[in-house]
Amino acid sequence: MVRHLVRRLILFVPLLLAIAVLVFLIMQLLPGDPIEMMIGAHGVVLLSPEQIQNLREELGLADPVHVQLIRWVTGAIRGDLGRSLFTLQPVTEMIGGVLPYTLQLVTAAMLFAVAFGVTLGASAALHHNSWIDSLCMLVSTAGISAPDFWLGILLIFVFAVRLHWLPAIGEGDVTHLVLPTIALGTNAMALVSRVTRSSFLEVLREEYVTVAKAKGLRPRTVMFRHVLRNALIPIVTVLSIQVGRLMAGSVVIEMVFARRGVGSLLITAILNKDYLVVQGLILFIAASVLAINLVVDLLYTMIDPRIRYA
Amino acid sequence: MTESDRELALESYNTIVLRSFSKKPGAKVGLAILVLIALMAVIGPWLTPYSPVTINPPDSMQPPSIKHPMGTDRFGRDVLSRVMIGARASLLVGFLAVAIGTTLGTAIGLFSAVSGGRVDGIVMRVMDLWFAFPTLLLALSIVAVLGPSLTNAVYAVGISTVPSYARLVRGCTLSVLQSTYVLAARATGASSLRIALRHVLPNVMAPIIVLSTFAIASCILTAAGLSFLGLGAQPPQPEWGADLSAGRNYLRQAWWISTLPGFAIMLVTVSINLVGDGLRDALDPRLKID
Repeated sequence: MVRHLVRRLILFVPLLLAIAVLVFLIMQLLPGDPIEMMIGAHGVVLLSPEQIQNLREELGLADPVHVQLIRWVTGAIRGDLGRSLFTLQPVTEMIGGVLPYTLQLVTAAMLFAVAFGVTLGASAALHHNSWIDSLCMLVSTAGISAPDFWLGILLIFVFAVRLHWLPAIGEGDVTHLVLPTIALGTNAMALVSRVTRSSFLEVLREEYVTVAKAKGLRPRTVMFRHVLRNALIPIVTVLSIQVGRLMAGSVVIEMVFARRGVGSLLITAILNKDYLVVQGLILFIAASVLAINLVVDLLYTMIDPRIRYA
Repeated sequence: MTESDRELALESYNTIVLRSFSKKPGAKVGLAILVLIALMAVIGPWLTPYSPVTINPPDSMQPPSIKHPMGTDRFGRDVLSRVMIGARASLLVGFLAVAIGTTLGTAIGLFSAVSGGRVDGIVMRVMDLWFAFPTLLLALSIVAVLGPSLTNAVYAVGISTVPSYARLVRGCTLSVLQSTYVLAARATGASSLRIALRHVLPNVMAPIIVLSTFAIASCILTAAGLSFLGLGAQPPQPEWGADLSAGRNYLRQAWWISTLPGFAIMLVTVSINLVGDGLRDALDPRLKID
């Protein structure tokens, strides 16, 4: 297993390079001339054809595709992803400016999903086949099925428009984080609760739990030392998949709550046909997802000793 | 097995599955709701009280009433009619996207498993990468390239479901390929294609069906999300996600424009998930007859 992880680590950089090339080439398929889009973005500017050509050469857009590709990729390695066609800001700067907000949201949603999901699932498992179990399962089915953007709108309507308890849009202090977190995290929470429930049910049937109880250990000790530790493994697996989904979900949630972030940056760039920003963002997101998966797999080997020697 | 033996066996398998499915109340409720919605989607255009696209300014922003059970939007269009027609868009997207994913994914999975060796390794590596990329973001990128439209949304969402099928089919195929009857088939000279179609496919059906059910739900959600962002269905096409987005700015004055289409999405998704749960338990692998 360790060898497998080391191999993945080594493959990380070439993989990223391959993705960068792929992303660049796909973006080349976009219709439209970047120069004209730039000119259009900054209002009607009458440039003579020579001036346009000069601009084209200056920006390196007159070069053949493979030259542009190499330039972009080598730039990306150095941390330079080009400049936005609209704002002329360096893409890395744009990403760096909004990243903290997205991180805030995703982390909060993850914590929410874990805290409530595990609690819900565990309660359901411990009261198996009672009304608590059915209620928890109902909540989790609803949570999985509800579209997150709809949930966000509903939350805004109830808590911001009608009750005026919480702010509807923007980012700032903790109160601005509450509704987006619930909207984003509910889906994940429902999934976590389901996995927790089935995992707990399985572990609770195991012999070592009966032995622990027979030994006379306090219920709390049995729970935390034996049941929880072992039940956690499938939950961590699910969580690792959820990280990617939360990042994707943040795109929509940021739009709903008018928050700054990687997601709304991406949407705006797509709608504006600001293809360099889109390119850079997709590369960034792909890199993050890969990195997070790798880290989680590493954590996985630490939690479950059986995997280490597989 | 003789022909009649086989018929008997098949018959009892289906009966077993049906019986197990009908024991779950949730699944039956879900199926009932789905059938109703599907009916509505099919005969909707003849049933709608008003036209979903005709603009009617004097009637705009009316709250739910007897005349307009779900109210009207800011152009005076009846929300109920739009929701009914929107069902077509959502259900079509769900089914078509899953159809794309199933065919492509199954083909890739079968090919990878039957090829084996290095080809299998490379294909699965690519699938892992494909799978790791978040669904919505993948669909977004594809739509960014192809341009915003509901058709492109179908392709985008469909493509993003491919790796799940590929991995599932590959795993199932690999285990089926170990069985004795496949060995026998090879010994009698059956080609790889024949083995794939005649022996592997029937045994892979059950997990594919279960996966497809849940995939339809998630595709509907993803497509609605794309439309919500303005990258799927374009106005004036009635689509639940797009309508949700359109009503967003009028929450204070007209909450029904956004909330009710979203409720429809949730209803469909819950029903599909309930049916999927029932199917998954009913198609338990212990019942598999080789």
